[in-house]
Amino acid sequence: MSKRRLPCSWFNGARLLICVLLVGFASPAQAGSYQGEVVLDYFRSQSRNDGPGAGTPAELSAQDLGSRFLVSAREGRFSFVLDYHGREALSGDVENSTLRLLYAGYLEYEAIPGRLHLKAGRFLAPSTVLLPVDAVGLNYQRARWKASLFGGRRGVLTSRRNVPFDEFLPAAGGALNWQGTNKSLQGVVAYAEEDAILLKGGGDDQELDRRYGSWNGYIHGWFRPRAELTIVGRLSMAERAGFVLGPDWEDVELDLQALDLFNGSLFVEYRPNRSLRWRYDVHTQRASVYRQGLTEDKQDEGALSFEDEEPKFTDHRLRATVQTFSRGWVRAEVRLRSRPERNETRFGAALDLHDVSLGRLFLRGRVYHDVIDPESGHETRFDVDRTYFSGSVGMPFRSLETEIGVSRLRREASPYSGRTVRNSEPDAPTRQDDLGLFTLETDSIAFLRLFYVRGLQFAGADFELNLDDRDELRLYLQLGTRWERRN
Amino acid sequence: MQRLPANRFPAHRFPANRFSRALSCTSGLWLSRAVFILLAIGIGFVGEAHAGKGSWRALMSPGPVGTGHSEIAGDCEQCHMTFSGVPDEKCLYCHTGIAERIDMAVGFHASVSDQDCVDCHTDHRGEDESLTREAARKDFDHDRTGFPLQFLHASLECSACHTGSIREMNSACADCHEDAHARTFGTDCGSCHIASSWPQMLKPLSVHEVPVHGGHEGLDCGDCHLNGDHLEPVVPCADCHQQAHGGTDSACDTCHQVEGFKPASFDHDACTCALPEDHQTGDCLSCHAGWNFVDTPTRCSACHAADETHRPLGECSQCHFATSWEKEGQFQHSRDSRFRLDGEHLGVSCDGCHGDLTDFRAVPEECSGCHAETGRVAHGDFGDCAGCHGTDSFENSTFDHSTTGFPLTGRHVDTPCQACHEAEASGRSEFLPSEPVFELVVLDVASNHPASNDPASIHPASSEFMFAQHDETSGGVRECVDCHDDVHGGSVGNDCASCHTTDVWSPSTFDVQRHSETALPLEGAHAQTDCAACHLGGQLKPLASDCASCHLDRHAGKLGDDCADCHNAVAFSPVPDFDHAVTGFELDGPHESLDCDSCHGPSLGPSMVAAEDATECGVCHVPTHSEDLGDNCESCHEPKRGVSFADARGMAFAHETTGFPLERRHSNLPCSSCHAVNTARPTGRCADCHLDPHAGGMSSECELCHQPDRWRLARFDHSSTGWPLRGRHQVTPCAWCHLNQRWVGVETDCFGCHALDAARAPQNANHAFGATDCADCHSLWGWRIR
Repeated sequence: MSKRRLPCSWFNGARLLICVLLVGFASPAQAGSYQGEVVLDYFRSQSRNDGPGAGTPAELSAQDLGSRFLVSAREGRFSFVLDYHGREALSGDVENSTLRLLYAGYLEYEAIPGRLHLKAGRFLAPSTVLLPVDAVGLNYQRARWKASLFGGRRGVLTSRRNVPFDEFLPAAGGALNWQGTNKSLQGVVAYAEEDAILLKGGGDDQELDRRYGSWNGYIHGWFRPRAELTIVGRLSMAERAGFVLGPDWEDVELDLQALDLFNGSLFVEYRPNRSLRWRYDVHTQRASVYRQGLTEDKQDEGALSFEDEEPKFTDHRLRATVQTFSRGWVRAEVRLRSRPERNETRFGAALDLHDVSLGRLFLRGRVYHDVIDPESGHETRFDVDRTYFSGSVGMPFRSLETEIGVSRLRREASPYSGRTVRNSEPDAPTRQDDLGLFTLETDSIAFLRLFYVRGLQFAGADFELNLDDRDELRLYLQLGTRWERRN
Repeated sequence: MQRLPANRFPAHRFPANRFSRALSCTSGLWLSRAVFILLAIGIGFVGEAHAGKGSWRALMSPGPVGTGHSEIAGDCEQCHMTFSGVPDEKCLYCHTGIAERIDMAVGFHASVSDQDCVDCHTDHRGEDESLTREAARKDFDHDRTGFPLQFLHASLECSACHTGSIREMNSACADCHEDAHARTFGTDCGSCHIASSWPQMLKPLSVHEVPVHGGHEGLDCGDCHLNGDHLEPVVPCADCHQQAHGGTDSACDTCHQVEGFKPASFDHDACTCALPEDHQTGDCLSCHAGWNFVDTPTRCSACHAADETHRPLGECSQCHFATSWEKEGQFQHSRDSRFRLDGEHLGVSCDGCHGDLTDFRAVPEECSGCHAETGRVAHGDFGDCAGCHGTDSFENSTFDHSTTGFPLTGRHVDTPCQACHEAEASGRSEFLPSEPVFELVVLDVASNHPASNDPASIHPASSEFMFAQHDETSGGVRECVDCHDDVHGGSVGNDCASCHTTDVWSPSTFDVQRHSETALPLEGAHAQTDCAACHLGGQLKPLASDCASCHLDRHAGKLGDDCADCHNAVAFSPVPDFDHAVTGFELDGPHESLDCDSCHGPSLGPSMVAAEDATECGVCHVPTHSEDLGDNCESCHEPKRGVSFADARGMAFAHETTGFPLERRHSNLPCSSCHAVNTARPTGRCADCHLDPHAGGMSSECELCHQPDRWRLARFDHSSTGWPLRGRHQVTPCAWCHLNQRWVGVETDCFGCHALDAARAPQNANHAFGATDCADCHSLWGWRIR
């Protein structure tokens, strides 16, 4: 695989942002308001996976340093917002772990107080999908109506890669929002072009860029007709894209599909009293860019693919939550997830109690059982019923919160990450890596978590150990602080 | 058509060579012709015999002849000559008109007489066919007719013009074109029209003999050229214009121009006299009455008799210039009259002395002739003006007042004479020292010094006020009061000079120090008080020295009559060291810092004076709440606690008895923050006083999240929601999850808030497959970026 095409200017840009942050914090605004957050974290993980399709090498390790800077300041009519996420790979087997993403960095001016705001820079545009744009925009508000418009270029790809400055991917759109008493309605329309990074196998260059433009939009509404009843709905449309690998591993094609349903949800909550809550939600979703699989039966034995499967599902879920003795909640849940290739029925319960005894001891636990019912003709080796649970006990000591527990997540269909590792065999497909390196609660683990909060400063430590393979462990340390000030 | 006689060929029209040419063929051609003729004859006989009708000629004819030759159809010899074709003579024998024109060398055919007729004409093509060959028709050169076809003529069909006999046609336009003017403009159409565009285009007006601009502009042609008149190149104006005036035989354009009949521009220099200045712009009829331009007199009076506004003084030019009647003429007053003009007289206009300028010789030469009224107004009749005044300036009087025994000092120097000497009031006609005494009049400062009512403006500080010891026989003044009004009403006698000077009337020399010699020395604020504040109406004596004589007792006698018990001369207010307790109303609490005017001022003072018991709260305070709280203010309000009346902290009222104890921030709020004027009592719900910034997006039980001490920051125990805040959520801003002020109905699954994070996530298979159970992979203790 080729190296990530990160322009050097991004590294310089990150350094510049840090300087801006330091200056900003050193001399806070004397009037107005500001808030900020700086978080640094350290992550170390090592894993081993020699199962079918895991590829080589079986042992993987990663060590990186993460950062998050957030500034939101307002002075008079001017506002400034900056949101930066970054990860720097220190060592390990993963090549593409370095990320330097500026999700927001814009200046906003309140041209007409309480009415018109103008902004320029990078900001998250109203869109169905993640759309950081380098653009100019305006927000106009009058009475209960608020309209937003933006236009510019996409700043970050959905694959979390920065768009080089010499590349222009047009993006434009707008939103209209109506806020009433106990109800609101929002509509969003956006258009953006995208460079889809397509993975292929063999050769040195295992990535292909395919540009496509797509429309998307959604309608979001919230209604509370009575104090105990809340209804939330959202319907999103998008021109989705899939890419087809085949007829061999080196041939990749992008398939842009017509505008249709991207996701939709309906959430209804009913609280007849303070101790009981009923919740019902429907959620249907289709992925945006996804791999459709090989068009011909040429994948190897060990390769993992999802041939002819469009990743979509529809959930129907009913939950009941009961407060127990003012010490927490017990929740029961039934969920039906329908996929084109199978149906999953979940039965589960969760417990979350606090201040149980010995001061402020808290207990948390949950157990779920999924019953897999494959559709005829779609049986795969993943169609196995599964059960998983998690349990923990914790105790807060003043500002320090501790928790220790075990978790067992049996996934017959292992999750896959977008991380790829070097493939030394040119003709073999690019292998997607096991998420076990980076995700928690996969397989059987024991964990110890500490979190210290003092005011708006915090520090945390997570340590996880794979109970099935003691050589697998993960360590995650974080240190951060927030600022808030209103003058 | 006439038939040809047997001997029809004049010798000169039938040259022998025609025949010899016809016969002088080559032997081959001759043989062929002979064979052809024989065959034709033979066929003709056979055909005639076989048909039984017609003759052999009909069989030989190449076709029917044209309509014009129909009379000679079948008679071949009328046109043809054996072995000679169709000679011109045969044609011209019948077409005699053409023959004559050829002989006269006139017309088209004369120009082509060197050609044979058959070169252009033919026959036997049918009854309705033209006798002219098509090629000849195309090649026909109309120029040879003497009438070149130009412009539109070139595109016309021949028949458009040649509707009749060519012989009867002429080249005049009217021969073809209908004269829309009915010959009113004559027959020469070309004088106006051009052939390039007959109806639309006329000859440009620029070539019109008579200019058509100016007054002629806009005239229709018929206005002048009716009946074709005036088309000759030179037309005098009088042919069209009637002369409105007589007395001259000069041509109209001697004075008038085509650009405009008026104004006329006659060069008067060519006449017997040159018109000077204004005469050049004058109306001609002003001098040439009745348009009579001859024997016009040149004397001024001949024309300006009506302008003479004065009694006749002789020839006008003695005084007036012809260049400008109004301007100063050549008359020099000092030279030509007995009255020499000098000084300010030089700047006086004639009508300044000579009135309406009707009689210049009746003006008296004495000063009083003109200035009598000026002197009367200024100072009365003082006799000969020249005794005191010169012509340089009336104001510069040479009179020395010290000769009267009353030298003018101080402000008297600049005082106008009539301020003291009002002759009209005294009835005196002269102003001489030998007369007994001036009639002194009371000085009315306001009327005599209209510029100022301030005596100080009359008497600048420069010298002592001098009172000459004049008596009536010497003509001297008496006392100051003879001229000045005694504003003191005689309360201090007539010795004005004891306090006033001629330099400055006010302030007087009676200052604070001299006032100390009176019964009331001026101390404190009295030293700055205006005299008139106490000495009303200028009355200086007698005046009591007690306070009440000048000061109003605002306490209406309730505090006694000895003002000095509380007040002093330094300042009436504030009253230092006044013990308010002596009034029965001790000032404490918020009352202690109030100004006296707060209660005793214009707004509340009258109420307090009128009140039976001025210590009642209601005398000053108006209740801002409903009457059901009673009228005993002190049951709730304790002014002695030293805080505002409206401040809850100053209240003795136990608010907890209402079921709503005032805690924390509520304890410091003014009552009016919640208890609006004359409104029902709040029910105790937060929403009674606080607006809902969440737009109904959360419970109306504000106290679930807010405390009275810190409204903005919530104290909400998130554990009660069934979703305790763990890990990073403890420091996450509320609004990150509760978007748009939506505090209830928020999905507690990770995806409800982290959908955007999911969108940020890499396109790994797990996210791509729409996993929304984030907690399967992520920990709420730290989301991780991936």
